[in-house]
Amino acid sequence: MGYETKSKKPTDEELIERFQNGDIYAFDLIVKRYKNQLLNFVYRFLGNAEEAEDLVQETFLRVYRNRKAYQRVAKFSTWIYTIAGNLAKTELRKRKRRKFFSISDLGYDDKDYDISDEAFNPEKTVDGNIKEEIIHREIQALSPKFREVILLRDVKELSYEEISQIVNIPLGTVKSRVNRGRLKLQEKLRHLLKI
Amino acid sequence: MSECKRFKKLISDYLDDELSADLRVNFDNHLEDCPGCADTTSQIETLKDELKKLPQIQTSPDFDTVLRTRIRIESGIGRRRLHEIVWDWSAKIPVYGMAVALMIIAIVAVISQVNKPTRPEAYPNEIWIGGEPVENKTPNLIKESENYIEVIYEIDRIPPQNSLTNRDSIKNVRKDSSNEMNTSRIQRVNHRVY
Repeated sequence: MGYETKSKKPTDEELIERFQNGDIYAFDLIVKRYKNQLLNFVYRFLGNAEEAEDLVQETFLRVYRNRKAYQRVAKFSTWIYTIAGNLAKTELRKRKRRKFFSISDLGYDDKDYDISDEAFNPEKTVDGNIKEEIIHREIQALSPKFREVILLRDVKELSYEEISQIVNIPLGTVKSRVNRGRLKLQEKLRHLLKI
Repeated sequence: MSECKRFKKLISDYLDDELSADLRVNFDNHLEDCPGCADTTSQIETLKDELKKLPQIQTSPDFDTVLRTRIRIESGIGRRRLHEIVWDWSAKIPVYGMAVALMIIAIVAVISQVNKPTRPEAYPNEIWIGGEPVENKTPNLIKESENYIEVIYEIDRIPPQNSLTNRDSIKNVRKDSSNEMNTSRIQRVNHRVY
């Protein structure tokens, strides 16, 4: 009782319901289940691991604070990804403002796209690390509206329907954005994808 | 070319198995005839695989501890808020009370100063007219009689403590032996009010 076992793994919705009824352990299980998923989504969205972790913390704080607001009509994953996605978009807007007001700021894009010296080591073959760096950089170069759906679809592998609910846009728009986002990435990564 | 454009819009649906059977057949036929679209479709398929394979980062070891602490702090703040409100008010009531009391004292002091008799207490019988001793005033008229000098002043304002009414009055000042009016005599004035 109270332990997450393989034989009887509670659903997300059951966990949040237990948490709504005062079971703090259910909240711990939700954190355990989602912390890395959310971290990777937010990390790829913002491009900065440290900021991503702060934002995931904030996401869980909001889940804790607003647990009563969740209603079972929606999937819990949709709800929590919506919170994280909104926080990430807010963070991007803040960055934009900071960038606008700071003439010395080169912009997070410039910093985050730097490929480490290690990656340029001539002795090192064109391996996964470089490829990952380049892909990461090109994801960051996408506009947020394409980046978000690409990450939800191709990195988190969520359904189009769920993405539509998270981003709050029609299903057809999601499909169109995913396709255009993929085409943009394919165009940028053409040479890499041929290897 | 326009056909390629149309099929490019369907690449993701094709790769995600979202196309109807008919459209899928059409798409396959187009790929056979169009190396450009076949290449793009193949690259997007590779891209999807690469995106799935992106390394997953892990939360820092202290993630849970930090989160618990933040929750505890926030819950603490939530409880403290109510407590603080009650405490603040209970703490402020004596302060406010004292402030109000001081303010009342100050107001009373100011009012009493305003209404304070301008007449010095040391000379209760001294006649004051228009806020100053009568000896500072210039009489409007002086009439001499057998026992008195009748001095007439036009009074603009009568001090509250003065029994004179708000109208012109006549002061009869006892005439002393030297037939002169001085300050000491004024205190012995026998005044009548008309």
